[in-house]
Amino acid sequence: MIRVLLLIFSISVVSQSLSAEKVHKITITVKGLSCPFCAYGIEKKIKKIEGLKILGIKMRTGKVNVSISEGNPLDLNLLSKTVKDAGFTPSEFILTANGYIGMNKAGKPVFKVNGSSDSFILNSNDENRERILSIAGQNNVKVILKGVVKKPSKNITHIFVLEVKKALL
Amino acid sequence: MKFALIKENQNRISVFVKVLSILWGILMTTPAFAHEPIFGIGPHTIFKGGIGIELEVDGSGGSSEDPVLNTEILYGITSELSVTLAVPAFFDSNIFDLRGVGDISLRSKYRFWRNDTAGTQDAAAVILGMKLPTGRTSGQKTSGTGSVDFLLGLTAARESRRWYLFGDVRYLLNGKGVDNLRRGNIFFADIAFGIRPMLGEYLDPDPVLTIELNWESRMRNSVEIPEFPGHEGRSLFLSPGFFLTYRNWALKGGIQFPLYQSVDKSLFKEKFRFLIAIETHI
Repeated sequence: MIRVLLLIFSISVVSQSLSAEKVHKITITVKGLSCPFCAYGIEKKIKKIEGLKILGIKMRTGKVNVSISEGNPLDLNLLSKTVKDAGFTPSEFILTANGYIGMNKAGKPVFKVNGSSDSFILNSNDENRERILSIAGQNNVKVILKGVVKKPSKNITHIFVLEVKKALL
Repeated sequence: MKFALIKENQNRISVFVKVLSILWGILMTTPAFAHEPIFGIGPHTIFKGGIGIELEVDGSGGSSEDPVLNTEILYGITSELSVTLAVPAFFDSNIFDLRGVGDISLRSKYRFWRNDTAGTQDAAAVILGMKLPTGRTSGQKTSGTGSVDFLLGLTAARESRRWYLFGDVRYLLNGKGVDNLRRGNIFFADIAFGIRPMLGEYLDPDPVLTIELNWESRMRNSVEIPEFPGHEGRSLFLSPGFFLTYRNWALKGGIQFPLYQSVDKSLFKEKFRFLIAIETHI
């Protein structure tokens, strides 16, 4: 009986840790965020978007942390509009997401977000560029990428890579 | 006979004016938004699609007025444009003795300029408002002026994590009401400073202390009865206040103490005015 309970507990822990990895995280730097009462509009509006969850609003730094469960679109335009509708100005998005790196037709590295059709053109410094190109040459290597988006675009969004590493599968 | 009729009209209008005129300026012109001056007005608008509900008690000392319960509902059409419906309820001697629901007001605020930087928001807005003659104007328990009044205002503010600075000017244009009485128009000018003594995080209680200077200039009433006294006067108030907010709930209040009052004999000099309100955004 005890073994059965331990087995159920183990399965539960493993499934929780797997599901915890199946989220992307976005930190939005928000300008004009001065009072907590006013910031409620951001919480209220982000909660309305399917798949999004507020992880925290940091008044001191003006940062809003949200998570997006895999399978939902990583729509930075929508997030930008949401912050604007709440009465503030989004200045940058720091994205941490799971996905794959490939090359587009123009020969530029592209990050394809796991579980959605979103993709971003990658810009980086020299150090990360080499790493990105080496990963892009391999087939189906899942990565965790952290990058900054200054201006989301409706068509092609560029992301400046801060960090990229192979995901542990 | 004519003298008796005039006297009767005077009495009726006099009570009416006393009950409604002093607080009416506050009821008509102050907004439902917690992080704004208590007696002045600021450029804040609620988020798009947001609804704000405020219950506000207004009163004064030194006049014959009883407190007024003002209910305001605020709606954000866009992040820069909000509308407010204000419904005042007047009481005779206590909260269980309702005199009547007064004239409802509709206000809109358009934030035409906003500059957001890290932890600071600068903004300016115009305010347009209209009071409708929905209150009772006949019988013993009058609760309305019978007039359509208009409000015009301009406000600007800097709000940072630590400091607040607000300024505004407003003009209340009163229309002709019951018994052809046109109450004097009122000009308001306000400046407010605020400080947040503790810089907390989003889910911490957030107190802010404010101090305001409120100027009011009331023009003479226009009435057809020559014997009825005018109603003009100028007042300057010093007004300490506070906000205490937690997430989407707010408690705010303040007292206006007159520093200077130059009013004619028909207008009682006030010892103080007060306002306390609870507000939520949903």
